[in-house]
Amino acid sequence: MLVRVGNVEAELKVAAVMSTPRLGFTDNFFCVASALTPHGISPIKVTGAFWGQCLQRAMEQVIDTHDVILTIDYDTVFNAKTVEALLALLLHSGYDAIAAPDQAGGECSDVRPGRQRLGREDNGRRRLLPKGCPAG
Amino acid sequence: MDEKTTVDGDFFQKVVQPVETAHFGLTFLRTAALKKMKKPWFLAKANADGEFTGGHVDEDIGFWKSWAACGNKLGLATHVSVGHAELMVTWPSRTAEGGKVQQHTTEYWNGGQKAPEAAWGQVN
Repeated sequence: MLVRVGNVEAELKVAAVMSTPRLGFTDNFFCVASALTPHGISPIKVTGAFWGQCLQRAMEQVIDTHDVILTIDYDTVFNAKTVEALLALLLHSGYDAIAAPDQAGGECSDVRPGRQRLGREDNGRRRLLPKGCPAG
Repeated sequence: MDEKTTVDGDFFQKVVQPVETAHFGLTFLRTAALKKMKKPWFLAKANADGEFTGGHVDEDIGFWKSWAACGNKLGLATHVSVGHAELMVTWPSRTAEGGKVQQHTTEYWNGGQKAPEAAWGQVN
């Protein structure tokens, strides 16, 4: 995938991986297809009962052959420009990983793995929470 | 403080902010950094009572703790967000604008299977 940061261009080997249930949101499927196709990325998915184990298996497939891994959840809504922007920020910032915030809405009581909202907790950790939505 | 969130307004002054944990919804990781981590990469830990009802570490959070322990840095892109697909219930309403009111499914189940107050014709 070709990334441009200012006047500098870089060609990176990017792998996209997903830990998915057997059934899912078709909106997400089309986001994945329409966002990755322009960048020439073919997503890898692993399906199973344990989210973390499946994601690890997917990441293990590409860790030695790619520069960067893009993880995608089965319910994320995004586009090709978002992928490009995040990758540019990863390169420009020097961080080892970059995530985009997903703002919690009516899901305040949902504590399932993989969805850490950003704002401020008692311990100072940053989380993005709508006012009235308890950190937890 | 941001008007609508719990985040300080100055948090958005930088395009990337360091954070301790995040999600995996749309996240880039350098493979060179990942190689520093011992497996298993995603490990949950129960609380002192052996339960997962609070005070525990979920497997995604466990990943980021290990990530930091290896000297890796995690950043949050403050000006690039993603959407989160969620199931909502739409109820008919005679008082809400547009003739309908929406409710998250979690609220419905955790609230005793009751429709929002603005919903019309509910038998509770």
